[in-house]
Amino acid sequence: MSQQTNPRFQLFNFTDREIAIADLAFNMHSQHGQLPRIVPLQNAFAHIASLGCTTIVKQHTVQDPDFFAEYYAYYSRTFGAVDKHCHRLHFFSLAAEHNEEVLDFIDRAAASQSYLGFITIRPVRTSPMAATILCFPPDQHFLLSSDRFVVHIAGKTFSVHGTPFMQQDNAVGACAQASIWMALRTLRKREGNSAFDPAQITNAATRFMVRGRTLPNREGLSVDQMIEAIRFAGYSPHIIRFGSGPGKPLDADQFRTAKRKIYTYVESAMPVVLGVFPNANDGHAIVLIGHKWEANTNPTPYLVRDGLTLYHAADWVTTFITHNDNSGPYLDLPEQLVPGYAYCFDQINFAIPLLPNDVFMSGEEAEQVALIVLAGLLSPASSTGVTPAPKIEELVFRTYLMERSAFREWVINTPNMHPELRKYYRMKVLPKRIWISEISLLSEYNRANAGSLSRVGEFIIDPTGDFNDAPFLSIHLNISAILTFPAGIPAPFTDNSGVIIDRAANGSSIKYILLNGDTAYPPLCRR
Amino acid sequence: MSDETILGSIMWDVLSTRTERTLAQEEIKSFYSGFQADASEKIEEIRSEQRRAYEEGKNLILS
Repeated sequence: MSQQTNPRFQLFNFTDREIAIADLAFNMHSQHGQLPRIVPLQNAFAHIASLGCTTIVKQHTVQDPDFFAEYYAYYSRTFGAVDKHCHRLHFFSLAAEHNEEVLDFIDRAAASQSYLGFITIRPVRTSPMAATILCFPPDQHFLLSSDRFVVHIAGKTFSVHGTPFMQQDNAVGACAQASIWMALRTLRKREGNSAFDPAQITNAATRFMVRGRTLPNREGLSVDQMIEAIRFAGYSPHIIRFGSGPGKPLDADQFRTAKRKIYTYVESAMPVVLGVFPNANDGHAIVLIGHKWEANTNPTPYLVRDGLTLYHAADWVTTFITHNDNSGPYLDLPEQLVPGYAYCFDQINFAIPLLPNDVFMSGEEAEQVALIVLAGLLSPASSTGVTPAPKIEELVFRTYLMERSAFREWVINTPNMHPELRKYYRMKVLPKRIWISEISLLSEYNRANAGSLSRVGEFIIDPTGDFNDAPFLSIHLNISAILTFPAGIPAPFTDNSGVIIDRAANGSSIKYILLNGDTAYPPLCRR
Repeated sequence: MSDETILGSIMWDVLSTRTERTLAQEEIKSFYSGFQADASEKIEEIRSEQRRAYEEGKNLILS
């Protein structure tokens, strides 16, 4: 590894990640005490290498706000000296030229779109990896809980699109605080809520209930302390539990249920804090930030009723992607325990999605509203006098929360949508956010990733409504695509018939609007 | 017309007759009562899961 000296910045060629960790990633005077926990760093450097990093700029004397908070909460009060500054490693895919000055490189890199993100290194030997944002993997993953962050280096502006990561600093917080920090920091710009530092998260969590010493906070947080911190930061304290208890692996049904419930939130671009329990007394918090998707030729029916067979879109998710503070960023969460992984999906016991606090209806409730109304809408197909009864095509059901403005933008840009439907959605009065239950044809859904025209309807549900009032705002069904009439039996209505059912927000009016020549269109695909 | 399928029956009628329509207040009431009958078990299931989640969460420590 070559280097050039500079008072504040140094330039390094990135050739070997183990050398880089040994040379660059430690920032403390003392070499005694506990061994450093470097697994997150090792995995982060493996990720950086996979992004094509060739050059590292090391920035010294960084006043990192999160570490400053940890410093003033704890380290400034210790008798032994701890530096209050961090250093930061910035990663680039652009290669440095021979003997290039670091500022020349930074100037050249600023014009090259080669910035891959940064890792902040704390002056704490046991847990060096502080605030970190790295670009997410370039392959076709759905890393939905992410944002674009602006970074300034020596007067030049860079940006990185990714999900903030941090290793727990065991003095001021455990995995629970680190996971909440990652989730809050991801949403700060999008939601405009507080993004507490780890010390503030501990304070918020222990305001009303203390279970032991808060400094150092090595014992972690209970679930109710976690939801108090999340509530205080401006989100709804919603918990979903799974399985038969901590330390008991999920059975097949519990596994499917957990996957389907969690999918709704991950697909809504909400970070989901998960509690995983490899055994009854050993809980760990991680954050789900996205998922991988693959065609599935053998999904399990979600609902079978009155001739209707529905599948759940979660069955097309192969793996969820996590930030795990003690393992590293952008890691798969395997379904069952496999070598090389300490945690897996069937160890989960609860989930806390960071649901905005203006959403009064949970994803589970919204999905049930749509399911019950859909089953009621399609069940008359078997009792309308057409003999034999029409067949209801097998359908795939997918529910997610979306901002009204993003939904309208999607409507404008979605190819093949019926012009009247497009106009209706652009004109319809909607709340700031909406739950959407999307309905697609199973026969086309394996190509949904490639933009196939599989979507044949959707429910728009008011997230501020009451479950008891069936608070849908709009239903669109392309009935001709959903029902197949037996050969030789004339359909009672013309081909390509669709319908919009429009409901006033207060439920006082429900109106049917016909769509002649209705069409199928692609499901939402957001990366 | 049964309560839980009233929306579907009217949809079928609208499609067959090609006549758009707005539900009468009696039909709306019928839909809501049908929905609530269908949904009551689900509501109770979701709420009891929620209560259990909060209760069990008090004793789970993440560290």
